[in-house]
Amino acid sequence: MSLLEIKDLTIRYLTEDGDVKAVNGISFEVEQGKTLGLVGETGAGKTTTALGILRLVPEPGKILSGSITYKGQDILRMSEKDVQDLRGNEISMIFQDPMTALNPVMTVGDQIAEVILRHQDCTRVEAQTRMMAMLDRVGISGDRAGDYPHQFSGGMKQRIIIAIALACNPKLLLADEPTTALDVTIQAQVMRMVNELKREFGTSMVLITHDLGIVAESCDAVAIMYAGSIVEYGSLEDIFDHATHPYTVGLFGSIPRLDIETDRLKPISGLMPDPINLPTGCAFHPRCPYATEECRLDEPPYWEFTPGHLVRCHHAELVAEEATVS
Amino acid sequence: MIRYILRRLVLIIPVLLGAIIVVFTINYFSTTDPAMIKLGISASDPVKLAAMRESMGLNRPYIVQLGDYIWNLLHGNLGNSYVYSKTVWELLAGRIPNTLKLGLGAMVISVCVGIPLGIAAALHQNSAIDYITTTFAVIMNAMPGFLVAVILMLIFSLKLGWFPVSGADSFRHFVLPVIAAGIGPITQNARMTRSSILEVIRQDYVRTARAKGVAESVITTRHVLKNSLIPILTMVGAGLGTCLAGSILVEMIFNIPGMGMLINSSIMAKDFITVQGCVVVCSVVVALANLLTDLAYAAVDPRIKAQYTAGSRKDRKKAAEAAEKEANAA
Repeated sequence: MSLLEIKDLTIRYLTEDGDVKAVNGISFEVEQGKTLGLVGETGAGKTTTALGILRLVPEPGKILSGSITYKGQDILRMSEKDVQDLRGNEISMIFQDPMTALNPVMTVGDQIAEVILRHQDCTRVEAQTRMMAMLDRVGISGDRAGDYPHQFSGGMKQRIIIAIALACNPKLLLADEPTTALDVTIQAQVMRMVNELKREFGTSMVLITHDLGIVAESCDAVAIMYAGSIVEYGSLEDIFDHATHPYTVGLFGSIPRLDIETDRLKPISGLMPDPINLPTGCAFHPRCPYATEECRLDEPPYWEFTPGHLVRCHHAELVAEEATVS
Repeated sequence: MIRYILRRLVLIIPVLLGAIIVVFTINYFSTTDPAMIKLGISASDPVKLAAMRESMGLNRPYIVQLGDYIWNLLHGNLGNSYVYSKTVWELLAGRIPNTLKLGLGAMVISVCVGIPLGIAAALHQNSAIDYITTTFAVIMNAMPGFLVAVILMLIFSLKLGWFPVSGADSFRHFVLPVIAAGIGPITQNARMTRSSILEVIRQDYVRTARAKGVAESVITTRHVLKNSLIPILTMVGAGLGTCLAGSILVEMIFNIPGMGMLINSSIMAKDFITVQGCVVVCSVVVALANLLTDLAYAAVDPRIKAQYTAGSRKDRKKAAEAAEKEANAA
């Protein structure tokens, strides 16, 4: 059985201008000890999905339907108290922007110790020792525990956030673009550390990113999100070597390659649709080079291209063929 | 930190000097002749007037008179009233306690009532308590303090007879004036607290705290309140200055012999040396209140504290050592 199983999750932000359709009936699973990459452009609904798993979707967001089954229990049906016991303990989250994710008027030591004291049955002194160990684990010397967030660099802050997230040995880690706010050298450092800690503690992970390089390095399975839906889902090889959705193909087409001489990159034309007024049929059809009348009218169902490799496109076969030819 | 406090105390000196020079200069160039005021009816005699001008030192050049005034201030001498045969300090000394009672009382209720109201409104945004608080705040903010004072007096003194109409003899005399002077600051504090908390509550670090599984009540006290305090402190600090500098209108309506009343009556009587003395005392109070506010910032926010202490040699040395250690570790 999978550690986490999401079925038909739908999340909307009910604003005065209309309902923002952030997440539209997505389903995926995360196996024990494995990493799922959740890939998509800004605004595709990746962060909302992760917050939904912790039931932390901010107002005016609402989880309308679906189920989030963690260890056989539906998180959406738990009491608030039970969810609080899960947060930071069984399931924890690494946030996108280390600059703002730490409380500026609390020492970093206290911020790490807070989550330990909350979930582990231990004294203040023990929590202090474990906090020091955790700081050490992410490569920050223990005597800086009494310092405040503004005294640390961005990369160090992100490591402190990782220390908070991993302090209680969670079974599932939701990493929301953990490296986006960091510069490239620090990115590599942080990702290496996350992967090491993940291996050490046997943690499963949902890695949210728009960086396909990070996906290739860290993920076992990949879900490509577009306008609140998962358009393609499969193993790392399925997605990287046999992409069958025009959006996925477009994503790879817009990355520069070192082995091929290219004058211009091929970006996906057009923009993400307004999530309040999603296009009819396939949400990607206005930007899709393969779009036909059928795409405009009918939302394509999931189609199992090869076992375990799901794609949501009327023309998946054609796309796959052309992709292999080129 | 102590170095910082000392430095700030020293910096108060030029501020006070500036205030003194401005108020002295305005008085100096005013058309009123202090000697005439002092002589009163016998000023019509030019010989007496000239003698008085000479004895008051009014014939000396501007700069000498200013220097003389500052020299006397340094010795705790605010000068002699033109109207009463008393020193300005003697006039002030009896009145400062009343103004202090009124000002501090107003400040205490503005903090103890205003801030909790703001917290309640923010935590239950768009609920009945929020609407009631904000409506009350808008109405009371738009209503001048003296109008509130008159209404309070009409209802609670004249109709119900619960409190005395005027005077400053007992605790009961101060209840209505304190409410009248405090109502404006209460509403300001409530509104500022509400908006500050609403801003902090949406911050990423509050979400981080939620993601740690911390209970909502702990999030409010531990993460939200402390962070939302800074703009509130500014408000309270500014209020501290104005409260202590006296609420002239409230003192007049309730006939409380405080500094505000003294300023008012001195202006009427053209007793400008007394006005000057009051202004000097007020500037000292405001300067000290601002210093206290700044120190309170530092107590709440380590980032501000770091700015204050950045100059000290010890900290710079510590920072350099830490950086070196970091470099070695990497």
